[in-house]
Amino acid sequence: MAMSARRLKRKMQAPKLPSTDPQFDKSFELLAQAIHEIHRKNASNLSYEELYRNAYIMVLQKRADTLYNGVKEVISDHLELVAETEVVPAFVKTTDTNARMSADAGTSFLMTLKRVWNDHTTSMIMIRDILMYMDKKHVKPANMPLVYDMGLELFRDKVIRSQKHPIQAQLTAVLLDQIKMERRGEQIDRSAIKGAVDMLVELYDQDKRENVYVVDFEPHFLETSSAFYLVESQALLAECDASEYMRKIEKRMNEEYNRTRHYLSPVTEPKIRNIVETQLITNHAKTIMEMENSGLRPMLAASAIEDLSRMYKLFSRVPEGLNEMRTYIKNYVLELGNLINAKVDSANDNTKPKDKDGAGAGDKPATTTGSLYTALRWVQDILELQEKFNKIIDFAVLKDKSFQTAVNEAFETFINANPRSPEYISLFIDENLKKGLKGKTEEEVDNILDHTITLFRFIREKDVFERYYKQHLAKRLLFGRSVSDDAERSMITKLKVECGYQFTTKLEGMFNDIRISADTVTAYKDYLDASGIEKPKIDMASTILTSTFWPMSASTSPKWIMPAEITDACQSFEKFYYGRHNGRRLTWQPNMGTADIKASFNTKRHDLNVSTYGMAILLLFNEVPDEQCLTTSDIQAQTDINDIDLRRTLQSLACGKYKILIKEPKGKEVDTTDKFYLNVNFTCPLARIKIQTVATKVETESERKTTHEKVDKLRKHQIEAAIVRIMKDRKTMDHNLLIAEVVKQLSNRFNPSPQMIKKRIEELIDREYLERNAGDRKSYNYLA
Amino acid sequence: MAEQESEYVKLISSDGFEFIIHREAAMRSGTMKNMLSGAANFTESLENQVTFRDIKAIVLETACRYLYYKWQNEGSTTEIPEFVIEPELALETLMAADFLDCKYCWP
Repeated sequence: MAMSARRLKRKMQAPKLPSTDPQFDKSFELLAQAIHEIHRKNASNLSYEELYRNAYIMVLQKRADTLYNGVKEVISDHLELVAETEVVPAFVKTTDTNARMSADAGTSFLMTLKRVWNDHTTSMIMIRDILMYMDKKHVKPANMPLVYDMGLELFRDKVIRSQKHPIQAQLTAVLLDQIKMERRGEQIDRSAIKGAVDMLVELYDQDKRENVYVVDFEPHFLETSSAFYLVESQALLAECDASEYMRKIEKRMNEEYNRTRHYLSPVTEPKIRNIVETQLITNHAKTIMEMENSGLRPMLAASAIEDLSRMYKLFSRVPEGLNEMRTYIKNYVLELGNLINAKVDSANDNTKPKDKDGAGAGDKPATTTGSLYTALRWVQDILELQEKFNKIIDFAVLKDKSFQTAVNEAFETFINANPRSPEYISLFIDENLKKGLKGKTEEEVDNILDHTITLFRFIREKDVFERYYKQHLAKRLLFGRSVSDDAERSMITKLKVECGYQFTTKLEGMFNDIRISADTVTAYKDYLDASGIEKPKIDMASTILTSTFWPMSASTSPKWIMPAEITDACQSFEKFYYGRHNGRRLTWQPNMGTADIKASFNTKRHDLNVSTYGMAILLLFNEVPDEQCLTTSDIQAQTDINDIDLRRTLQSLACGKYKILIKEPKGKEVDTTDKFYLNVNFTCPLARIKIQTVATKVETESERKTTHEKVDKLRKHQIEAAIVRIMKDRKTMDHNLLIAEVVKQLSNRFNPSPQMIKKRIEELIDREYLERNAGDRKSYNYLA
Repeated sequence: MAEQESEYVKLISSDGFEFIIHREAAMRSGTMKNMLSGAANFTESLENQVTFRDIKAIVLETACRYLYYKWQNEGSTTEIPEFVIEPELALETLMAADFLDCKYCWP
């Protein structure tokens, strides 16, 4: 027969011995004695086999219940005895007034309790082993607490929660006292506490479905902690600055964390953390940030990475903490940004007097005017600010995206608050792309431009920027002042990455024009040589610019009276060019050109490189006797150059570093009645002199107005194009949806206002691209 | 407790026969395991011998054979040979097994 025939099991429990009470009593007496022996730690005198056999027989005799209750009673009696004779005598006497003494007494109480507990659990293991058969056959099927658990329950009820003795209160008080001492910085016996806590954790409260630690002790602990930190935070705030306060609370948090790790239960960790965070951070976040001389603002000002990082870490623990910090930082950035903007405003107010300072600035006297300086300073300041906050974001707040966004928003707000930001940024780029400036290496320039691009990102009116950039680029290209083609191209690539292909096509077109023009000039020279036509008196290199790519428009060709020599040369070139290209029209842009002229002064001859206008003015003096003068209005009459350009050119000739003309009366500004003489005594160590125009500087108000008008005009077209594109696709569309879509499509160039779009829609309806929907007046139909 | 747990333990039947078996085999019985190891220092674990007052030699021998059989075949992946018990001993062996708590058969 195989042993595996297990279904026989139940039926085989036949009584082996007659069940008589005396027999049972005898057996039980034996077990009770054995338990006593076990409690006295005399187990080695007992025979397991005998005890087990007795318990086994009792169970077989169906007396398990009696056995179970009997054992329970024996253990219970024992525990009561222990509580009275061992635990209670170890109580901390209230007479122990000395703190150290009571601490020691507390420790020894905990030790006693721990010893009692250890003895009990050891005994219970042995008792459980002896009664294993009962556990298996009776207790478990009946769903009663197993012998060991029953022992723990008895310990809980008879010792810890004893009705007779205030052991519970004593224990809690001692534990809290110990923790309080440790918080004060005194040494305590952690293992004693740990023993007690472990004991409480092991005891289970069936009613509350939690262990006794959580039910009985933890609430007290949390309550006293809360009170402690309430007082602590007040005290710390009163005596520490923000940085130190944060250091201290960080230390506190670590302490509490370690406490839960080392001798309290890990389940307490989140609860105590919450209390500490609430008491120390949440309740005081504002106070800390706004502390004078040490709060968030001074930290940011000093880029105190360590403190900021600590603040970030601490605040990230509490809800809203980071939000407040972020808002604060954002406002601070805004404030700084507005300061930078304010500097610009105040500088612009006293541009005039500042002009003089700029003139002394060395090798490029004409360009470093006050307002250019302001513009560059503005960008530079912002770049520095940005670098500062990038550092803070990288190192102090762990590259938190939300902080980055907040700071970016602040930048965007104040950059766009300055209406001239597109112009300034373009000027800044212009300054860095110009040849041979300030001895910066190419890498440095590249680096600066990379940063500048990030500023460009913030600009909402990208089309305005494009316009300025084109103007500046045009001047760089035409006057040959770019650092290098590579630098220019890399800048364009950067712009392309930011704004897409459409944004840069025209800029690239400008480059192409320059390249093609070089070929054209060569071809023109060959043509002159080959055809044998009489050559014009001057050498001329023309740059052919596609009018749609370049910022100056063909229709508004500046009027001026060309000197006769120039007229010949122009006509000759026009003849050549029209011969090669049908249907093209050339418009001369004298304000974009330069001329090399040979000038004979009394002592010396010089090659002068001047603007085309400058040349025209100087040519006038060929006809004027040396001692004679021309007034501004004379020159105006003879050349018909527009007022602004004329003044600029005269300034560059008479007030710059090289004074080819002498102005009377002397001064920076040119008046209509000013007289100009040729400086016949002009000398200079250099044979070749470049007379720079007072050109690339910040626009004047009226120029700005024109620029904006032009931009507005362009915008009208773009809005219309966008509307038509969208309507062609959708056929019918609701007014609001259409506006939203248009704004979305154009947002990477500028932010059109709904009124502007509405106007364009009406315009398009007039021109019969669209019609109002007959049924729904709020939507439109596309007319093919 | 014996400082060095000896490798073998002695089992004594009610009729005085002694069986010396490997400790590992004896541990296959829950009851013997409790006797011989753990926190409990009962006489059995000190003397390394157990007297069974209710188990006859012939049954105890079967039990020992079974404990070895179990120890050897534990965790085996191949087919386990049948453990044969004399029919006339079946009842007593069964009771002994219950007493000794051989969990493998009575999970």
